[in-house]
Amino acid sequence: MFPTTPDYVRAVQIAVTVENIPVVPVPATEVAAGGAGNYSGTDTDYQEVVSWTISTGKVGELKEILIISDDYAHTLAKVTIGATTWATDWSPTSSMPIIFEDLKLAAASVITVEVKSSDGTAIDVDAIIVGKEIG
Amino acid sequence: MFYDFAITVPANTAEASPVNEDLKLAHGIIHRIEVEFPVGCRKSTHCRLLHHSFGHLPTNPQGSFATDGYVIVITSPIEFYTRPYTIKAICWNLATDYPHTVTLRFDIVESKWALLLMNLLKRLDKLLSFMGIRV
Repeated sequence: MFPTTPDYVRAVQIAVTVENIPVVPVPATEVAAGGAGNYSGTDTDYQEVVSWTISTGKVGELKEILIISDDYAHTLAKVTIGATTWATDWSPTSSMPIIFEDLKLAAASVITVEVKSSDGTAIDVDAIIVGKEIG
Repeated sequence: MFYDFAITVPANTAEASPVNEDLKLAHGIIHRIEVEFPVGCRKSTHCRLLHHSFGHLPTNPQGSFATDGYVIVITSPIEFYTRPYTIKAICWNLATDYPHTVTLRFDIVESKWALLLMNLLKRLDKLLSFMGIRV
């Protein structure tokens, strides 16, 4: 049910939006979000390393994604941000942060980092998603 | 005679377990009913009236009064001559945050004056019909 106000109180809601995504600029309501994960194996199908689903009622801000592998030559990565496949079958040459600054995403958006081995060679990959949730 | 009743309905009051209030009135002709909903309730609060002399209001059995910052006015005259002279108000509140108060007002014309007026109007109507004037 939608929120109401006390009797005889009319509420006016003002939202600052970025491409229709509201941003609530109140530091007290920000929480760390994202996550860190690891995949170790030989699978040649994409395996999820880390995933972040933005909580209901919150706005997510994606800051950075970091992928670290012990064998970049045989590591293929896929990064999905919401409905966008940002990169697929990408073989990073070294550890590098992917900086998004403050990419704002709506609640229920999912950010996923997946990796696979290019030819079955064992890989050990860490992935980190750095973000925050506001609201 | 003018009656005013304020019924406060707590938040999370379901339709299946509503607040029931017996509104004690006097006999006569109810010629005006006002159902006021305060600003802020956003149609979360509902009200239905019951009495054997008129059945229920709204007339459709599944209907209920619900609005925001508005007074619903019923001006259809209702003969209110049979006991008990008590209208049952059934109210529920689907809001999860605040209680809301529904205000009910009844304007009742005392019987003898109402009867006199009604008889006079009936006779006048007959006279006009006799003269070929349709009202």
